[in-house]
Amino acid sequence: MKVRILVEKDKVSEPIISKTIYKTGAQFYIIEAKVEKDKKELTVEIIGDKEQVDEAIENLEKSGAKVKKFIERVTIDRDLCVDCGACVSLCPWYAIEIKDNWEVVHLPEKCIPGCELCVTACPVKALVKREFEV
Amino acid sequence: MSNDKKKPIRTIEEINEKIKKGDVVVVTADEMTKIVKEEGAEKAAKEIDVVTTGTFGMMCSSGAFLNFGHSDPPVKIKRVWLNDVEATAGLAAVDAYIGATRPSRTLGIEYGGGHVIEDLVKGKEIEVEIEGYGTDCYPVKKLETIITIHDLNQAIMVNPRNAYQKYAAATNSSDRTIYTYMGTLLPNYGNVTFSGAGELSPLMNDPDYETIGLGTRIFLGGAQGYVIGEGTQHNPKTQFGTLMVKGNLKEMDPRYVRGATVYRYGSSLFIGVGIPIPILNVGLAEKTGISDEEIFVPIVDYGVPRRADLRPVVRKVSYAELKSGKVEINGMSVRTSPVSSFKMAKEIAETLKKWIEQGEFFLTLPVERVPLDREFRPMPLRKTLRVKDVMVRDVITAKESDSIENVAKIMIEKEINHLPVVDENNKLVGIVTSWDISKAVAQGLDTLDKIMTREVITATEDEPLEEVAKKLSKFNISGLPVVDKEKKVIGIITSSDLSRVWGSKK
Repeated sequence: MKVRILVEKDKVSEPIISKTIYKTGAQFYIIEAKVEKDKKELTVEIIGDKEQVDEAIENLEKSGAKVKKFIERVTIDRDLCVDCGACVSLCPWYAIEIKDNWEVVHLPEKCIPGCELCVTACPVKALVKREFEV
Repeated sequence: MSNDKKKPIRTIEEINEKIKKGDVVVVTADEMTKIVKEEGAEKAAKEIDVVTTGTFGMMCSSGAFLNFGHSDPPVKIKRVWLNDVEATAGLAAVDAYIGATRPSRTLGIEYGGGHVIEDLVKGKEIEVEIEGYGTDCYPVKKLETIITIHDLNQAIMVNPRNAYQKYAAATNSSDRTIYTYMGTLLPNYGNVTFSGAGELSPLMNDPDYETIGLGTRIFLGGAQGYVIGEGTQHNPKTQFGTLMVKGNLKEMDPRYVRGATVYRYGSSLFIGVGIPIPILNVGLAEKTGISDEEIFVPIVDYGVPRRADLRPVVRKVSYAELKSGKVEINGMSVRTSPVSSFKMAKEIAETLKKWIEQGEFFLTLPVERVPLDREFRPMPLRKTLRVKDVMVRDVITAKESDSIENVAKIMIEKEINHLPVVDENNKLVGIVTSWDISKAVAQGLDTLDKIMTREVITATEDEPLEEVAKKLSKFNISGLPVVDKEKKVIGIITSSDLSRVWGSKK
C-alpha cells in the first residue's frame, strides 16, 4: 500500500515511523522523504499483510500524522499520443491495445501499475503515471 | 511488365486539369488495394486518377537549415545552440543545420534536435546561444538571444533520408531487455517491433520510381514539400528505397512534426510524409493495389550485437501478420508493436486526398528519376586495427593435466602471463595466468584443472581493437585468447600488445 505521510509542528521530532514499525511489524519502504524544520512528508510503501498495514496506518494517525492512501495509474494523454503503438507489446498485462482504426487505447481495468515499461518506452511521453487517492 | 501495362492512359496535365475543375478521382492506397482486388487493375486504372499514400514515423535523418539574419555588430557562427541543442555550423556566417538526433547538452536525449524543430513549428520562443569566430568583419565572439520561427529568414526542412520503402522488424533472442532504435525489445523473443506503413507506404506503391523523383510535390509535415532525389542509404533493389525531401518549416503543422525520445537510444523526429501517385498506366494501378499480405520483411535478431545486415534473420514476415498483433517465432506466439503510426499514415493519405479534391494541391512529374541501381554498402574499416593485425600467432598453450610446476617454468622461460588451456583438438577449455599460479603455490594445489578459469572471455580475429580494450577493462583482465568459429585457439592478445600499438601510434 502506497501512502503519503504528513507530520507537522511539534510532532516532527517524534519517532512516529519507528514506533509504528516496532508496534505493528509492518515494513516501510521509503520512496521519497522531505524533511523540513516544522514539516515532514514521506512517500512510503507499507509492506505487510492487510491487518498489519491497516494497523500501521491507524497507528500513524493516532500519533498525529495525516495519512493519504493512493494508487498510481498509467493513462494516455490523448493530446500527446501519436498512436505509434511502441508500448503495446511491452505491457505484461495486455492493458494496451490497438483498435481497428489503429488508435492506441489503454485499458485501466487491466493495468497493474508498477512496471511502467510503457512509460519509459513512449517516444512522445504520452503515457503518464498519475496518482489517484483512494 | 508488358508494354500494355505501361501504355499511357492519362497525363499529369490532364489530371491537373481535372483537379482545377474539381472532378478528379482520388483514393487512398489502402482503398486502392480493395478496389484493385475487387475490380481488377484495368478497371481501377480507368476510374481512378490519383492514389495517395502516407507514412508517419521516427525518421532520424531529418533536420532543417536555419538562417538567423545578421546581428549588429555581426557574428560568424562557430557554434550555435538552440534551447541548449547544438546545430551544425560550418556554413556561411549565420546559417546552421539543426539535426533531429542531436541531444541537449543539459537534458541529453530527453530534449533533442527533433524537439527544437517541433517547438519552432509551434512558434515557441527558442533561446539561441552563439559562439563566434571573431573576425575583422564579424567581430562578435559571444551572443545570446531569443527567437521564434518568424524571426528566422529561412527555416527549410531538408531530410536526407525519409520514407523508407519498408523496414526490417526487430526481436531479441538474448536473455536481457535491450533498448534499441526499434524500441524496447524484451528478452527471449519477448516481442517484435516493426516500422513502416506497409500498403500505405509511398515507395511501396511506386516501387519502380515511375512517378516519384526529383521535383515530385508531396505532403511533408503538413505542408507542401518536394522530393529532391534519392535518400541516403537508398537501396531500391531490395525494396529498401529512401527519399531526400525538403519543405518549408514555416508552413508546417506541429501535428505532423513531433520531437521524440527513444528510451536509452536517442532523440529523433516523428515526421509525416505523403506522396500522390498519378495513375498514368494500368501498371501503376496494379502496383498501387499492393496489400500488406504481399509485403515481406525479415525479423532481425537485435540480441546479436552486429551490423544490421549481419544480424541473424529469425524469419520473414508480412506486414499483414505484423499488423495482426502477433507473429509466430519457433512455434511461440510473440506479440508485435509498431513503432510508427498507421493511424497518422492513413490521416496523411486522407489529408492529401482532400487537398487534391479541393484543388489545393497539383501533381508534378519528376524532372529527374531516382536511380534504381544503388546499393547500400557497409563502411570499409581501413584504418581500424583488428585483432588479427596485432595478436601473437604462435601461442603457447597448456593441457588440463599439466602440472603447476611445468606451467610456471614455461611462463618464466617465455616471459608470458597468460596460458590458454586446450583439449587434444586445440579447442579452448580454460585459461591460467601467472596470478593463478601464485595462488596455486600459496594453496598447495598441483594440477591446472584445479586453478584454471573455465569461463574464458575470448576475442575473434576480426574484432576491432577498441572492442578488445573494452572487454579487458569491463572484466578487469589483461589478456584474451583469440579463437576461431570452432573455438580453436589461433592466437592471443594482451593489454601489453594494445599499449605497444597505441603507445607507438600517438
